[in-house]
Amino acid sequence: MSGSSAPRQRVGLAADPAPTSLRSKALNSFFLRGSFWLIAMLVLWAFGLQTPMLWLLRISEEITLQFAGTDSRNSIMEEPSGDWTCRILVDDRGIEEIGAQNISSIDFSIQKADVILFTFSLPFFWSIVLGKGFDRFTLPALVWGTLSIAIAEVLLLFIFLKITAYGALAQLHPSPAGLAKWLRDLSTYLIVSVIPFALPIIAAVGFHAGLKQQFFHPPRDSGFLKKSVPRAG
Amino acid sequence: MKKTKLSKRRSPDARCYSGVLTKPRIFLAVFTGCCLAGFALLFSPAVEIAVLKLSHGLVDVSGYLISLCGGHAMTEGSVLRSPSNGFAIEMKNGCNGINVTVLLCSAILAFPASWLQKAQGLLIGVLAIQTINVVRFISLFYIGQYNQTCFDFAHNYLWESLIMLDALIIFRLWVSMVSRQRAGAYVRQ
Repeated sequence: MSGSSAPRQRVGLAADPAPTSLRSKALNSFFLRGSFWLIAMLVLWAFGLQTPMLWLLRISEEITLQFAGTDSRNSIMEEPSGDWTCRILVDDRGIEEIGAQNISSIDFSIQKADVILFTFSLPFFWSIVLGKGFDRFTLPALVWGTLSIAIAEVLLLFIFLKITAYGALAQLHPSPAGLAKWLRDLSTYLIVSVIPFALPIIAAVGFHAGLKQQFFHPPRDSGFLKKSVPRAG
Repeated sequence: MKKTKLSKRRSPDARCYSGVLTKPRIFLAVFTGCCLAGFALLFSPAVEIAVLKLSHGLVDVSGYLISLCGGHAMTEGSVLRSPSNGFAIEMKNGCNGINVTVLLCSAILAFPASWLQKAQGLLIGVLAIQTINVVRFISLFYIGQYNQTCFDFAHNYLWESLIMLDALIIFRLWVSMVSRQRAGAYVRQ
């Protein structure tokens, strides 16, 4: 098998430029379609989807906080300005100052602009999946990806609220900057500046079999590998 | 026994041979590890100073490019200021494309390829991301002078997601390059 098929494969690879041009054409069209869908989805999100998504996020977050043991049903309240006022339980038992009173919960406000970030990953994810074009992988990827990102965003907001609450608690009990502060800063950076933008890409490539194929298993190279391995053996 | 030896010898070659990902779980684990290590490093004091210097350098390059194209801008550290209306924009950590750079570098490091190819990918990838980032910074400088709402939208969402998409394309182009180089090496054999 290897003796007869390998030379043909070599000639085909060296002489035929079509697969490379087809591949770059597919990549170009993905980039152009993805950019178009990104702008379209962001406009739709900014002018139509933000309000219902924020409402859903607040309801989901309240349910999550109930599970996490917050004592009041109204643990998140929306102000007329759109900002959120949150009451988050904190565990203050670690602080053992004589005469100091333990704190059971922290109330703080988050600006609407900061909360909106936790609804951004979904339109970005949709634009990447739609940028690939419609095929049999599109619908399952959209469904599973949307569900996963929605759950992840609720969890990320929950972690963000906890970090903010413990950050406020740390200000009330001043201590030298150490590992806890470093971890808080790093986690906040990841939650605000990295994960909302990286998660949609990871989800799109993970859930869309066509995208996974395009990015990790170029068709011509897969064939090349299949033929090269028996030859090497 | 011979078979075991052959497969052990062949396995890393086959993984590197065509730039095809055969073990996605390992890729995901190495990618996550590299990301966490990279972002943790960003918050160490020594790297923070280097990142600040990078931001200053990028602002200087942006100011120089604006002047080269006939525009007017003054640079003060990591701040780019318009002399005509006083509008100023500061490049903070997160606006300097370092988060996207860490993600791209992690993906390149996690992907099966030779160290030389990875080094090429890292160099080209970092340069490409930072070039796009300078374009982003200059465009935001002008958008901010035009309209604050447009600036917020472009700054917080549009450019950030576009630059992520660019990183994905750069990574894909590098994977193609690795595949082509390996295919070429195979043909020469």
